[in-house]
Amino acid sequence: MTARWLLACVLLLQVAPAPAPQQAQQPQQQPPPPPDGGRLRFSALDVIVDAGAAQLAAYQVEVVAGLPEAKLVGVEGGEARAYAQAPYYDPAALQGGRVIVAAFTTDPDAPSGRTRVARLHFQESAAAELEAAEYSVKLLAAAAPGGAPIEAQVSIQRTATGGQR
Amino acid sequence: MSLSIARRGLPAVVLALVAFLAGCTAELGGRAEKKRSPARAAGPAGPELWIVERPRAAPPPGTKSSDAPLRSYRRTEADSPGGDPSPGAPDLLPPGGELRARLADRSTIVLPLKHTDVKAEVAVYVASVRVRQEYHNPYAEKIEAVYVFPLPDDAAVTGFVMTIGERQIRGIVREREEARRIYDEAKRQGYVASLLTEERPNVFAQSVANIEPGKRIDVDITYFHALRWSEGEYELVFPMVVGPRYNPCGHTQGIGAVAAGATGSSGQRTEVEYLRPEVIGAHDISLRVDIDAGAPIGAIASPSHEIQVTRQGEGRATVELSPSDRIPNKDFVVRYKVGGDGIRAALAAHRDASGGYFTLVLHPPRDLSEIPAPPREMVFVLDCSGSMSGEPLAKAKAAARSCLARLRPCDAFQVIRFSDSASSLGPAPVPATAANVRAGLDYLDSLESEGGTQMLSGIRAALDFPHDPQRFRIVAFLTDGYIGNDREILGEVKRRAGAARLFSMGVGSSVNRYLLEGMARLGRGAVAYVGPDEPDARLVEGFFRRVEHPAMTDIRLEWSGVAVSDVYPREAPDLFAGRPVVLTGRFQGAGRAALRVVGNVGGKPREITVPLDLERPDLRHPALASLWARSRIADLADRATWAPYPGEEAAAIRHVALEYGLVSDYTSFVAVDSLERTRGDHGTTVIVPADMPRGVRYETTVGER
Repeated sequence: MTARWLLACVLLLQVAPAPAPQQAQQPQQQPPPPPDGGRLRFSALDVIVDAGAAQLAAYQVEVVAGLPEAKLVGVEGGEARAYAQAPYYDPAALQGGRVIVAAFTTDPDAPSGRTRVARLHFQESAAAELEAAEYSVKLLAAAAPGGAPIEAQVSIQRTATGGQR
Repeated sequence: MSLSIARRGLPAVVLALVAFLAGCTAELGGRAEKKRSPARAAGPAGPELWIVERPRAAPPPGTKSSDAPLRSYRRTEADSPGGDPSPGAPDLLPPGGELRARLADRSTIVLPLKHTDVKAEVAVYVASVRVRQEYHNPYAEKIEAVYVFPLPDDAAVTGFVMTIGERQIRGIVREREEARRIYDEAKRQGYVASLLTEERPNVFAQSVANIEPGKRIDVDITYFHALRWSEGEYELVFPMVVGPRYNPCGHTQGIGAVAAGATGSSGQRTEVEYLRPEVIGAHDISLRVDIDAGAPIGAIASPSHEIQVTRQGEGRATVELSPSDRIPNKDFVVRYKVGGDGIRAALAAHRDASGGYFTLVLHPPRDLSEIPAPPREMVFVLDCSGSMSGEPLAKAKAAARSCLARLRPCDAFQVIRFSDSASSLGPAPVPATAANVRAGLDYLDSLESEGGTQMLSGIRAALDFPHDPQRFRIVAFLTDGYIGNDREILGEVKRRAGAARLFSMGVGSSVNRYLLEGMARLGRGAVAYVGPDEPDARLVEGFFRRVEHPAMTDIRLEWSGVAVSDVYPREAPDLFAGRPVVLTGRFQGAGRAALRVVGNVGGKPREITVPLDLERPDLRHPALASLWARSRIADLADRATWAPYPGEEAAAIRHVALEYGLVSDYTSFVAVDSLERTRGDHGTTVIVPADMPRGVRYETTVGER
């Protein structure tokens, strides 16, 4: 971890900004205009698996958007170190409107209990009548480090997005 | 890793997906090794910058975003004699403003692409490669970085991950237009996003939007491809720079070559910007190849770069690029021999829920090299365009001279040159008498490079000669392949090749392998390359090893024991002595099977039988599904070059690419981080210029305006 922090510090130094521009240094700092008449927005869904007392060594979940306008635009890793890498998705299933993501870990510190295993980024319609669009989620498989299937619960929740850095 | 888990009994559904995913998108872990060439790291501090604002311009009506040229802003003082940083050329300013760099020292220029790290793992002859591009923003304003770069022409690009700090976001394959729209919208709204498009099977464009000042964003691209086997060696190639293409008049779908900052001046859909020779981009590359050959590894060598080799036992080795050789201005090539049965046993198979996939290295009959070739009619075609100026043309002429010297009296030959137009030594092939050969050598001596690359005229001149049916016609092209209308060329080869066999000989440090491989494939010949530091004798020896013996032609494949379908290449190529070919296909069933290869050698029927064991436990390589899909896409793309209604091929390519998650001409990767929006406008587009390929002259290839 120390080495990682050291590397991060070195990188931070390396990417330090160049001297400030001599003209027009602050082109625009106001928020961008609303997207295409407010039609499109980007949002994120957290996929949470609760494995109870068991360690979660592998999972496979299916998420289906309530409206076809929702387009998957990114799959992010989870909060636990074991699932920090971006999970894989099944491109063939995506053609059928299903988002299937899966990951496994050999990390002895595989998480137990409730953990965010993935975050799905979507482009959605922002029209008011579509606000209530729901997503459904299904756990297709979950396994413990020994490979045995485990009982687990899966849920999704919207994450606050679009905030400015 | 998937196998060890499998033994421990994960649920079948997880196993299937894990095996599929682990193979199809095998990511190589670990962060990039941060080593830089001392010489290149010692550049000056950042450039001095100006931002010149101008009103945003709406795109022309009817313009599709993906059809627009890749945009750039950059003009360096080096490209602007006089160095006036004021907005002196408003017509060339892009929407949103312009950054200009005044270089304190012309030797090095800071770029948004800081470093590329390549890690490859080779299992027998399948390479899994991860390319990490490290983007950063060294300026005081937000930017979009755009970089046009090469990958192997047969790369099955299956993985795309954007890393922001500690967070990793995997990109999604979508139809090209849709991916572009998503990216543009995310960029406009201030989200960090990235887009990977295919401009040619071996040329890709990477865009990264909303990189804030001082921030770094990494993009990992993962691909699979099969190593070439040539001259008794495996060969792994990693291209590092796109060579400057010539685009015939009226052609707009090519790849333009322009000076850094002369964005849009080529009028082509895609552009590569080049730094002047006296300027070096502060972008370097590190590369590591881990080889598991499955057989004892012999000598390992690179004709292109300084390498460091570490061996781990008989069949494993690691090859690393030397820290002193990290300028990305030439193809990286590493070759190695393997002993034992490592070559002959090269069958790999994989089975998953979608069926079975295989690749098979098919060898010519062993005794082929003992049979003399019939009389030949050999046509040598030399590219004398501006990009061949200097070293490349000298090498091509030397190779052609050596070929002429090896002709037999019973052979006939002709020499053709082309640049802006084509001309030849004579109107038809002439017998290879001593006097004619001498005339041919004199003709070669007289050739000089000049002008453009009207390769179509060279193709037509070479393939339209009246053919003597008593002779085996061989057409050898010596070129760097720096041409923007690749597909038009390939269509012409297919239409005109007839009974001829077309051999392409790539000359230079970063040749257009997509074109050269395609010409050889469609012309049922073979391809060979010679780099600037290699003797031309290697090229000539390889060429004559093929043509001094009859090929096994008119090949038909008969499978038994399993149901085989969708085998590529669709038409089995001729088998030349010493040159195996790789077949990729699908199968159903299991157990022992056999392939019967039926053909002709010198007009007499011949056959060979290849036993196949599709039950062996080690025949599991999930990458094969991606490789098969990539081969199918390549086949469809070939057919689209001559099909009367290429729309059908386009639809089929789109379907396969989406189903298997591959980048193609019709599909792209897009990734958006929706968590946070960056502040302000989407910033200024910065094109990452490339170094000139080694040995290629800037002044004869790059358009200034």
